[in-house]
Amino acid sequence: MPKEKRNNTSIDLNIIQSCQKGEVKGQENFYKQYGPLVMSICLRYAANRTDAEDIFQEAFITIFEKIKHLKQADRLVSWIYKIIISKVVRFYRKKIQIEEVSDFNMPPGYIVQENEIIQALSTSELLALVQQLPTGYRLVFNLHIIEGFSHKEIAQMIGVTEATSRSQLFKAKQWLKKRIHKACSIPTYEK
Amino acid sequence: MKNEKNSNFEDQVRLKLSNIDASLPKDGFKAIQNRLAIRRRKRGILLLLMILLLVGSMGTFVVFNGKMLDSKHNSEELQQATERAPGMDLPISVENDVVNLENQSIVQEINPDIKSKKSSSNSVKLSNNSNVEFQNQVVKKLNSIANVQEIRPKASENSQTTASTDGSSIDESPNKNSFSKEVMANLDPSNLEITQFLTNRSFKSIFHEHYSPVFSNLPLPANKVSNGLSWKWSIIPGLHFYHVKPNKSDDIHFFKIENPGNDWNISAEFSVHQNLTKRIAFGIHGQYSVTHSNLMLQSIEKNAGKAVVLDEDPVRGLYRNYSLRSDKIAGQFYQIGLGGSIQYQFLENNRNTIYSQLNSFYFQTLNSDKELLFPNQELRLGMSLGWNRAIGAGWVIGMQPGFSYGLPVSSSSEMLRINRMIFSVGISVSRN
Repeated sequence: MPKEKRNNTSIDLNIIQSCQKGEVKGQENFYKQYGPLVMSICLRYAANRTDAEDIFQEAFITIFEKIKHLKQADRLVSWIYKIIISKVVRFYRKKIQIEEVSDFNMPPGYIVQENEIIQALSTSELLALVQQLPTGYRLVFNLHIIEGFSHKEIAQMIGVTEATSRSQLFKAKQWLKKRIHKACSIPTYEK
Repeated sequence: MKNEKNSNFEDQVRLKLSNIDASLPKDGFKAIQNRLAIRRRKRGILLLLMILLLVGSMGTFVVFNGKMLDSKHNSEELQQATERAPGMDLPISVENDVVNLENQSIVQEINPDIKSKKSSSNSVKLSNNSNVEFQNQVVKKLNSIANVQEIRPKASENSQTTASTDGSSIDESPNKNSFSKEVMANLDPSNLEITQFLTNRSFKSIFHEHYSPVFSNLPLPANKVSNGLSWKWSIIPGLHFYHVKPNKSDDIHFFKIENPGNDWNISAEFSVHQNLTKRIAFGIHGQYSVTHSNLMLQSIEKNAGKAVVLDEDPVRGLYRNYSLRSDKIAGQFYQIGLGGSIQYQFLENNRNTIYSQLNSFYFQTLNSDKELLFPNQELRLGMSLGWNRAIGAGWVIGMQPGFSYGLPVSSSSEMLRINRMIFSVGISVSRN
């Protein structure tokens, strides 16, 4: 979800207030309302569904424990994002050493007609490809392309330099493009 | 062109990934609730531990503070003694801003930097009138030195009664305490409070008490080294269970005991302990015990015709053609007992002692009208684990969870002899 859209999700104040009081019923309603959103974010950041479920659970525990400190209800979604991202970074902290993947050198003249290819892919196929990205690439890719964070913000979040964040993003895109082409088996060359 | 393509790629990916169908994990909410509950429990336990630590450290602080108060009290005593002690008249007099000293070395000991002028009358003339304050300090200083010299024999007397952990005594005789003299000589005369504190006996006792685990060769506090008798008051609430509930019958009678539960027992105990070795102690105990029982006796008499048990009752089928009489024997049983114990201390630091105890008691029931169910005389064997904590001045508080098993020794009703188990937690105060 792009950054600008995060605050536009309709928020049920009663559910939040109920959660802030620690009521189980309120928590259950909250889980039903925001669970799919949280899970979709986790799936994008995690390498597989099992990891995603672990992060999902950790995120919800933190949400329920900290929601009483949430002052501005209209910033709930953005707050949830922050929690999930911090959980993801913590979950993959050991794996976020900067990976150098050498097998994505594209042949000269190899043009990417991604639009058509991506349209041909189903969401689950694309998600599977994103999940196959090396951890560092996947984090930067998600944070920048999907969430819309700047490289400066990403650098602060995951503890790398801005330049590293840029290069990771570039490599992530190259890697993904190549995998997309492989997945569709449509090598096309620039005319 | 390239940027445009890149942007298109990003938009396409973003669009696709924003439509992820994320099914929630099965029983996900339940698992989250379980983990939240576990975390709450852990936090509760941690909080409890912190409170206990806080209470423990507060206790230590209170004891330490008590010592400090003792110390202050002693200082005041010393000050008063200084003011009135005739033996402390020093060879000093002050006349017209001139301090007359018969022994000039004392001046140099107080402050060697002061350049004194020796007069013909063997006195020291201070250079100007503003030194009146200094004169007063000199007088006080000299008095405090005299105090130290006066105190030393008492301190050494005190040290002779103190034993180190390995059994050897530590010599704290004044002659060997040159450290204190050096400290005294180098002290700033204006810091009289520090001087008085250092010269105080209680300072040493605080040091020993709080640091003896680190410096194991230092003497233990007095309450740990006492080899004499110690006495202990305990109150021991407990839960009371019947182990044997005999069902007896003969040709005419059938007895059955029923116990609805909620029985309890509470005892007050006074004991005297004597150390046999460093770790083993022997104790003599006197105990007054109250047991509340909800026992019920069912006495069924064949063909008595009082209350015929209904034939159609399948549960009571056994009692068919018998009459049933129920006696509720609820109430308090009072016992007085005498016993002995042997204790083994297996863990110890400077304040805390953990020990195990085996004990045996012989009880006499005082209200014998209840004897039908309750033994007239009872032998009770028990074991317990105890924790004692010294809180200063010879006082010790303790906690003693334990288990005891009671065997009837004599009972008028041979048919209804019951054994009982008591789980208890004793709380005690003792003094060495």
